[in-house]
Amino acid sequence: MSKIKKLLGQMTLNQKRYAIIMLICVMINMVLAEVVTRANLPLWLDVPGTIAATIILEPAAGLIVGLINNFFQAIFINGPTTLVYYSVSAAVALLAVLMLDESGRLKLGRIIVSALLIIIVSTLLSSLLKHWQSNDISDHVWENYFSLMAASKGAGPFLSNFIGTLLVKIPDTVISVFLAVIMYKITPEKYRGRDKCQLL
Amino acid sequence: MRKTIYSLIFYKDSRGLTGRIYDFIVSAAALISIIPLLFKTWYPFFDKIETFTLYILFLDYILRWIVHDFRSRYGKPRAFLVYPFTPMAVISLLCMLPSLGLLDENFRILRMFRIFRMIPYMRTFDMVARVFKREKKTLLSVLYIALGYIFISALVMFVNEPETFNTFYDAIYWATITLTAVGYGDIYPVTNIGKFISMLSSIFGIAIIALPAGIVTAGFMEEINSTVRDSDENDKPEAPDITAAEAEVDKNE
Repeated sequence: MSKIKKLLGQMTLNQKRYAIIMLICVMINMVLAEVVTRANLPLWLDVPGTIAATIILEPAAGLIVGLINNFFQAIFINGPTTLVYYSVSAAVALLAVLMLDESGRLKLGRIIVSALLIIIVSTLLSSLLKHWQSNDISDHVWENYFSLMAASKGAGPFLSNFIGTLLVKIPDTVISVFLAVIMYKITPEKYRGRDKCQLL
Repeated sequence: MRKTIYSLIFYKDSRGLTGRIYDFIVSAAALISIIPLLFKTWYPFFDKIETFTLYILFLDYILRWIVHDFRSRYGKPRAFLVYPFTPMAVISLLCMLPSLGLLDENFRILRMFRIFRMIPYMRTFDMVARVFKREKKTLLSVLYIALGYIFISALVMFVNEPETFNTFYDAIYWATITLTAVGYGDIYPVTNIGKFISMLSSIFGIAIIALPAGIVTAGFMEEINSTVRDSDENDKPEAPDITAAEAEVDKNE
């Protein structure tokens, strides 16, 4: 405990701000993902914290938050083969930057464009990885349900997998972006942005 | 934030204990991950080694990607796009693919490439790389001569002795083995022309093999000397200002 206190004492205010916000974002990702899994909802909700870290701090923070969550999932839940899905959270973190304008403020039009791109890119990446890694078979109940539905309508394995992922990804991204925007709004302005040392 | 990560991974001169620990962990992980390949039987314990080292190497791969723009000559977005195609990144990814479930277990030999992950952490390798870079032109010329000779002698042998060399690949194999003075003896010429070319290859091979060895040795000597010179210059105490001292003496007199 004293070592943690000592470490915190050595950190600058900006580093503390980064650490606290990123920790909160990691926890949000973990808790929400756990809740939707237990409630058996057709969602993942494992990226709201990643998006929030990107728009509140910077893309690198979003990338690190995604990395921590991905490692947590790989180590404690799904095994090392899920590490490749980091590419999906990394893409989400990078695309979330588009929500901000040049002055670093959120704009509705940009949020919509960014959300659409997140849906398309993350669905495509997930489908490709699933196709490569496990022959289009998903371990997500709802994704499988929608995939089977698409397959029964005559879609091929890859297309049905893509549709299954897409149908879960649309509400998932909408809710994730919405939650991230709320987190951005409730974060005091002086804590947002990349370099706030002088303000703290 | 990325600067902190960058300084942790790359700042070799000013890094503190954390940087050295990071180097040690990644190098050790790369080395340990090769241990399972040394055994014919796959013990359950190897799975744990495999998983643990994979986490470390994957983390290193991602961190290097995140900070690549600081090292690359390209600007910000382009540097990140270029990173996966850099030689070290390709090697890193290839050696992780079987463990990530993206390549069949038959490709597990690719894990062997993890040894190359230690390269960025070996200071001596910097010197080797510098020598090869400086002597690139000369070494490439020697290589072209050797390749040209191998091709021509293989062609002559293949045409001259079709019974001995079933395919052109066999002829290339023989020419390479003879030129490098290895000579396994599994394929050998039986005609007089073949024997003459074989003798010529052996003599030519000595020169061709000795030449790059000499170039590299000379390059190493030069590199070592310049390193010693640099360190001597850095260690040398600042020379006293003689003219100022003399002026002071004159003034006192």
